[in-house]
Amino acid sequence: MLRDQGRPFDNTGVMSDGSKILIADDAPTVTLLLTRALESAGYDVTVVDDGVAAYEAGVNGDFDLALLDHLMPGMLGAEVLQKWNEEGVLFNTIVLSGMDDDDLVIQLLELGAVDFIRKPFNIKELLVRVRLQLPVTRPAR
Amino acid sequence: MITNPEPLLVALLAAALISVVLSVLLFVIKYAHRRRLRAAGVRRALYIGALGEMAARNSVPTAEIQGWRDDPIFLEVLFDFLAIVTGDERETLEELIDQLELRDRLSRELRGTRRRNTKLRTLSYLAEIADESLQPIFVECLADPVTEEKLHAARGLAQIGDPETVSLILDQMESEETWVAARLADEIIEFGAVAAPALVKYLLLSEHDPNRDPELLRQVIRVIGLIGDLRAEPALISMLESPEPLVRVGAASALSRAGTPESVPGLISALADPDWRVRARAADALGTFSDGRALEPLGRALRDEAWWVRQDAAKALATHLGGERRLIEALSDDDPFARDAALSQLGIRGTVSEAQQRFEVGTATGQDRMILAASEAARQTDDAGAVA
Amino acid sequence: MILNVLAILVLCYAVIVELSILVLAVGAGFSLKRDRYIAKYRRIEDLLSSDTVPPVSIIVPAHNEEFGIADSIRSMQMLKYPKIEIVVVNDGSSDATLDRLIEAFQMVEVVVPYRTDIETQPIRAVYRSTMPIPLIVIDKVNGGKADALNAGTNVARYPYVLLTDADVIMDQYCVLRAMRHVVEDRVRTVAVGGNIRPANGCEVAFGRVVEPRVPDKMIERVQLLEYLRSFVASRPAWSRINGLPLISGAFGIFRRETLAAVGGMTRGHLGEDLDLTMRIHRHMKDNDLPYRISYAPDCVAWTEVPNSTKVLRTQRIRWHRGLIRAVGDFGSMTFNPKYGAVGMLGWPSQLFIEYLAPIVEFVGWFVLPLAFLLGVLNVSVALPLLGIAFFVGAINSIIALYLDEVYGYFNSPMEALRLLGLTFVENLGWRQRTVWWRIRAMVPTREKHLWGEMERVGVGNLAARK
Repeated sequence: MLRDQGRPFDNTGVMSDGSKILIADDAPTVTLLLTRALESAGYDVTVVDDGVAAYEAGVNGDFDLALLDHLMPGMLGAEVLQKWNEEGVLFNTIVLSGMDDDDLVIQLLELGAVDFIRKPFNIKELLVRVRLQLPVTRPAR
Repeated sequence: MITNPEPLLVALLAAALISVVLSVLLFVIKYAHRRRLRAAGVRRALYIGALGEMAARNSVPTAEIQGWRDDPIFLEVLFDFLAIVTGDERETLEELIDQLELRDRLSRELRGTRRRNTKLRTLSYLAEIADESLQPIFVECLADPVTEEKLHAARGLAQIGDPETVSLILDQMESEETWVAARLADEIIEFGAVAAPALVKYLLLSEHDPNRDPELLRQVIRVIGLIGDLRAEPALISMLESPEPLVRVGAASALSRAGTPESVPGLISALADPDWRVRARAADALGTFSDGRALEPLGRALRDEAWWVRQDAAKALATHLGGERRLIEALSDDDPFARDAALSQLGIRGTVSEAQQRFEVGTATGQDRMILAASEAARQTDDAGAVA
Repeated sequence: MILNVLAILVLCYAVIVELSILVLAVGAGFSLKRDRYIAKYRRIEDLLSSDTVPPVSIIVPAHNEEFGIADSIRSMQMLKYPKIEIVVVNDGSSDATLDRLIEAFQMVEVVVPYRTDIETQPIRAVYRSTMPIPLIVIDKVNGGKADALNAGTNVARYPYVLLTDADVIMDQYCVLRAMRHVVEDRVRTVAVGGNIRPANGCEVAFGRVVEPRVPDKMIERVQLLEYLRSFVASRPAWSRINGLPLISGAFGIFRRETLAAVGGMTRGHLGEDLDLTMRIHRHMKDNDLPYRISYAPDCVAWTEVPNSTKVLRTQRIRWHRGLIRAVGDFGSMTFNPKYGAVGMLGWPSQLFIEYLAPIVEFVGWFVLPLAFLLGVLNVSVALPLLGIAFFVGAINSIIALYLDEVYGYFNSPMEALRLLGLTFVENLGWRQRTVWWRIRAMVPTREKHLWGEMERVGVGNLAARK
């Protein structure tokens, strides 16, 4: 049905390694795109669409990286980040957001976000950033 | 006195009839609306899935999608996706748009309709996917009396990015209400650096034109600031001395984004401006350059009579490389407002709480103790907290 | 006979009132239609990143709200607006409201200088959150809701304040939609009112109304209709002619400097929102200042309405007493051309429809049956008039339902049917009961608990009640 133009999607050059990534965003268009992109790159993706679920997933799950939106129902991304810090979660967090607020960027970076991606995003670039923030050595599972 | 009751009976029957008819109509409308929404929801999910798949695989489909292009929900979803991706995915979507001949279809719809609703919808879509072929349409719609159309048209022109069109938008801004001019200015920002020469030219011309609206000038300056093109800097620095306070405010604001250390002397003079807004903006702008020349003037600005100026000066000092020391010095200033401004910044920055922590652990320095003493003293000022 | 004349007059009054409401409803329809197509493509989201949008301070008075205050604040953080600060005023709560706040948002006491533009009860302490949230809590001596709002206004830093209640659930874009009116006319717009809808029966999750539904209990449904008539089918018309007499206390944005100029809200006034709006009108007109008070129909705020007769009664008596006091205060504005649309139309509507109509109806309860029993009633005139009043009243409610269709809140045809049925049934007792309460309100009593202790279930738990 779809005429494939034959370009392999994953061109980050990394073999799929089964890293677990948490995506927290309430817009279905965004989560769909991200899921498809990350799964094609070989990652194991979990999606949540509100802040409370994101917090719980981060604490209870076993993730290597989180992509976190700021404006979500339930709990804001900043709050989720802060609570994750308190719980001492081990993974890095990349924040995605459409809000053009410099103060917010600074706040989130100070809260420990390792990277900040604004919407609209470039999937290729996002994949590279994801790869960079994943732990190099993974603990035995 | 009591007239023939016949007309009353007629009125009664009419009222009763109307109420029944309206009730039935409402019920029918709700029912139809609901079915439509349900169906729309299903289609929306379908489109999200299909388009997402398409974008992710960078592959453009063939026949199936042609049938979808008349569905407004499909267009909505398509444009939702367009708004969140760049790079390869966007290219894929653009290919799809080309294949569906969306620009042509939407343009034809735009020209062929008289309904405001449709005009706005098609125009807003066209603005998202603007290319040179659409420029004439946008120029035409720019002159439309409906504000929303103007804004979409301006956006379209900005997407295309032809610097010649900037002056057209500026013309529109002149004849419009302030808030419309401000929104149009917002759209000019999308042009980016290519708009800077036209804007600067506008600024320079207006210096010699006594009839130019200062509010409009301020908008233009604001845009220049947001675009951040350094070519504008000399003009902005000279605007710091404009007789119009609004222009000075705008210039100081703009320099915080479009300035270099070249502008520091001008900003330092602006710290003494009679209008508090200019002083506040100047302080804010100086905070972006850690320039040694600004330390003393900012320290003095802590004693300014206007609250915002003091706060901005304190904030500027807080981000300045040598500023924190100056703030700590200000804690023992004899001006209570200066003390308060310094303390509030140090509190926000965490300096006070860090001093507190060190105090508790026993590693407090003399400076820490001074900070804590100052914050205690501030806490004990007038219990009502009211400060004139 | 006099009795007959009186009876007929009563009925004519009722018909005229209903027809006036009809005119309002139709006017509202036109006003809404005009705004609707523009609103859809306004790309209001762009305002989010524009700096033409002024910052807003949200003032939240809190008295014994320990249950739901944290959730309420969290839902306010979710608002899509560039710059907001939230000022919660703990009005001398006797429960754990303050502790809850301090704990939930990691607050520390700070010293914040502010101007006492408006006199209030003393403030004991001010707290700021150490989390990256623009939240300030004021702890003060109890003074009532108006006093709390005034104190909050004093401390607020931004040029516009949103006066609201602790249990109001706001739609994400509601502040933006209301502030749009300010952006469009910064110079003249001094106040913007929002569209209040009952949250009863709706599914609430995470501080948002997820699924709007028509409530099950009759008492709640009747109120739903009332709110629709008042907010959807009347205010847009007033707003167009700048004659809006009342901005609801549940959601109203005011220019801070204007609020301070009129002295804030009146302490102890039972209808403080009506009083404030009218005073602003009077102040601006007396001082010849160009202004406008707008209403934003797309700015939706949900609130819990009383679900028991007892609490509803208390609320209505309170409102009516506020109205009575207002009638005394603003009587001189009635049909006074100096006060423009609000003097000639807006205020008189409150006077004749809200204040006098119940009195007339009450008189009618005696006069009509009496005239009938005595055989002096001209039935062939009276009966049609009664019928016309009834049906036009129903039409008004149906129009309100129509206009509400635009927002698509209640899309179930079954719900529409129930509401439609209610428009006819309402007149068989429910409305009459409200009238009775209003008459009762006119009798001064020693009732002290007029604010009523509504069983606070908290914003986040509204769903749990079902």
